[in-house]
Amino acid sequence: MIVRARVRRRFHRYVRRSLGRYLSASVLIGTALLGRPASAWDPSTTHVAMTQRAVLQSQLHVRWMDQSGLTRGVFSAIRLHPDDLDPQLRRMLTVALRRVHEASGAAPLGGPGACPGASAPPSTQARCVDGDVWELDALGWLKLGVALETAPRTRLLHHFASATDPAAATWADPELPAAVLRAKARRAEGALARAANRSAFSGGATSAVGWLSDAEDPWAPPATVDHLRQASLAPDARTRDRELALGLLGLGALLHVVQDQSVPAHARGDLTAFFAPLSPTRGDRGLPLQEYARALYGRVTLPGTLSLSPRDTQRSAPLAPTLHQHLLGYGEYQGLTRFAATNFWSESSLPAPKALDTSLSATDAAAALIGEGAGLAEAELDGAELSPWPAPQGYLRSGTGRGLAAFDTDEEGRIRLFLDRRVYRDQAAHLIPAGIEASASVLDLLFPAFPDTTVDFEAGIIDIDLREGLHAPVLTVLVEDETGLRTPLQRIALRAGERNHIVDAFQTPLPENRRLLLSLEGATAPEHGLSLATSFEPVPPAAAMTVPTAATAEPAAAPAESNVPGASSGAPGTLPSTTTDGVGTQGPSQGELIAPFPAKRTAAPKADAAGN
Amino acid sequence: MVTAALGLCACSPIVRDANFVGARDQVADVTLEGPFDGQVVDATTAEPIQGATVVGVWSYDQGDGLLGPAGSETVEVKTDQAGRYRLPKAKLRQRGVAVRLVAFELVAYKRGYVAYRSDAVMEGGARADFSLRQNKVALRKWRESDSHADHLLFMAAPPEIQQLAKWERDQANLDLYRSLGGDAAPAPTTPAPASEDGLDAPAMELLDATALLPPDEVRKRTGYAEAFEVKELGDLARTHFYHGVHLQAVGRDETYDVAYRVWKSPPGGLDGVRETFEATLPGVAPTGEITDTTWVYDSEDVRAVAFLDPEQEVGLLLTCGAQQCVDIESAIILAKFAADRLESIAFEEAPREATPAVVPVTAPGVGGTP
Repeated sequence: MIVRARVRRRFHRYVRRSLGRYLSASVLIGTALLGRPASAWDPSTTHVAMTQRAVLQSQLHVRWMDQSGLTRGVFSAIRLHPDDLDPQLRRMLTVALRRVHEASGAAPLGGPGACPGASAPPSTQARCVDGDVWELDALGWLKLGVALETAPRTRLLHHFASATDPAAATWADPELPAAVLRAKARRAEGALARAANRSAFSGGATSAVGWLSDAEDPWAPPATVDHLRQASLAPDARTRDRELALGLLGLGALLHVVQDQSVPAHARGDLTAFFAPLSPTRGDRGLPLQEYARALYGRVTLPGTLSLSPRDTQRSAPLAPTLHQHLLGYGEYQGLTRFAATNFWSESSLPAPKALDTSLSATDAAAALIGEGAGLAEAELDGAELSPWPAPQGYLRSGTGRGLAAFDTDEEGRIRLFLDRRVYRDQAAHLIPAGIEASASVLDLLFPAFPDTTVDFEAGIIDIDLREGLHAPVLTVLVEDETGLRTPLQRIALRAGERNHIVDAFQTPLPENRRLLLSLEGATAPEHGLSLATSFEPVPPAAAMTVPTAATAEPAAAPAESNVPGASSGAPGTLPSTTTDGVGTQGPSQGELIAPFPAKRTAAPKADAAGN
Repeated sequence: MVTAALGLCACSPIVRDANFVGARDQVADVTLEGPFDGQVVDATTAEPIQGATVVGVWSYDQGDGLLGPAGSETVEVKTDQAGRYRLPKAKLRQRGVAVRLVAFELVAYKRGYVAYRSDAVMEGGARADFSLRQNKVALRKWRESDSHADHLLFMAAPPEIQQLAKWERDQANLDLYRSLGGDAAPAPTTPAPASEDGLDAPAMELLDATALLPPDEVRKRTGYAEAFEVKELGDLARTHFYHGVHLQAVGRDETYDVAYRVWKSPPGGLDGVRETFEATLPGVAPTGEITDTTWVYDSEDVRAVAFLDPEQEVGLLLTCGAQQCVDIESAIILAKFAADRLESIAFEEAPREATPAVVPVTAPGVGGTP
């Protein structure tokens, strides 16, 4: 810690004393190219591009389309009525909407005041949807969620990991207040400084890992997962749209936090790095890596390495079953936070300058300079060397040839490490794809595939294969009328890890203009898993819909009969019978309704209701 | 470096440098503030396009250290009879302290054409020809093979353009579904959106590098006697400037495979290709083995040779499994053979895929059905 503190003091002294060199050598790379600072990855360019790439790399769109009968995908419009939001959410969303960059595709149509009335000139109607309603496609809501994570900017404080323990629920950068925040507080610039003034900001906050479980934050995963569940289960279409929009906003916020874990300064708890000067203008400070990435790659050309292996290595399942494990590792997956923290240095977590004997070999000189390792993995440091050596300047290369840092010689003749354009380029080429991969995996985790399911519309039988997938699964069978109102018929606790055969699952034939929907709830892992819901609309064979056979024309047995939409005495959206332990027990007992998968039957025989 | 650093306490924001030029073919002042002017024309006929929607968006950031977006200002105009547009200077409204004007983007949209963005091209990559004054917006007619999904992703439309492009959403869902391997039953085809003058759109061309290194030539040089299946490398999309070819050894694992990636006249030049090579082959210094910039990489499982040929504007990365290329020399020999045949790189017409009809959304607002 003492060493690190010393390094940081040196970092700031270094910045102050040699601004001109610093600008020309490394930090002003981005400004020199195009010029714009950023927070973490830049929210309007790099983050948006990463999010878009993650959506395309994930199964999200294909699953939505498959599960909705090709009626809903990432380009589908989702409407949100401001009146349907509680005041806090509405206020937060309004602030985010004022701040979003409209050329990023994250600004919705409509909203309060967008439809000024029929007598108003047509030009003022350009954004009108319907009254005060906001409308944006699903991908747009996701991007808006990414931007929302910066409003207010103090939200960025929960994007860091603890430098000493990546799994810790809090992080701290104890050197920052002394080095930077005092000056900031004097000038009272920006949200962070104001927060510092009011709350005696201690240089730390809830960590990204801690935020994943934050039950208070309306955009944190607990609330987001709940919104996404309600997007499946809520009775009316307007509520489901609201819940989906809010769920996507929260998901965008989550992706922002996850992607920031691919920034070494975030993963190493190095807030100090964000206060490097980006231009001679006072107060124009930011993180050089992000500036470099934004300026060089913009919104469309993200970097990446190419696979030297020609065969398809596409991921078929999420990298980990929980969000925490996406950051901290699971099985062979190292975890994004650990990957960024142990393979890359951030701007102010570099080893301190050292005087080196020029008679040392290149690898010995590197080892002496690195000292105790400065937090990098052995695999990076093993075989590291200064190249060229001896020389006044060059690169510290890992055993695999990667440029870990540049070096030069300071006024006192010591070898000093710093990050320059080449190092940033290498970092971006590895870290941005890693952030995209983790983001795509999170999307796949939160929108799981609906298990293989066969529905016999004539017999009212559902066969569902749960040999893979969610834990503690519960199936809700719903019907939806022509107005979009969904009525649950029954909730059935299923057996995980095997095929389930459900008889009398719904009344046959379905009444006209009714659609059958299945919603499966369950956890992504036995412990600490996310409690998710995924829906599926089975498509009935045309013949079964239009020409019921004699066998299916008969109403099913008593249990199903009470499931006719509208026959329930309960309000729409409530289960028509009492529940026990969250599972409906209407009609035959659960033991009777569920059986290990037998040979498939084609009729709905009352006598077989036990499934034996 | 910073064109107008007016100070954090002043009323106007800092204005960052523009990433475009002042005017075509002449020296002119350039700033994100504007004003901007130009002409929208048909890329094929050079005729002016009247009534195209042009939207200019100025974007602001705010903060010190931890920074975030601070909103946008948008101006929408329609092109006149001569296809001309003019956008005023940014208002640079006071938005609080530590505000920066960080970007200007111009988006032009006309149904029947591929849209235009000042910072990007739909085929991929950054746009390099946008100018503050006398800008030329050449709109290409919509082709049957164009994807509405690619179009909407590329546009990242501001609200005014979203309103005009709403009709593309359902088709975009289907286009993306198909491109991601969705296996829903194909639907009847529908005609592409008609261009208003009724002219046929030219077919799209794709780079074809399959003749560069035929399987027979590989076998001749490596002594491998068995068959290859010629496939495409699927990780990067094939375009008019990129083609990845995979010679997959039939019945063998990937250590018997050969693959090569070819870039020919990519937008923005070969710098991006060079950076990709350097990131993919870390620590490898360029040599003069094949061209003046050749990278040679050898590992336990795979040999790789990459080179740039600036004269022919070609970049090539060849990888060869360790069982196919028993040593790095074998990979170099294959790469040299390819380097001598760069003239065999050709173009072929993109297949005109059947475009699925728009599936009617029978249940608007089926929230949660994702």
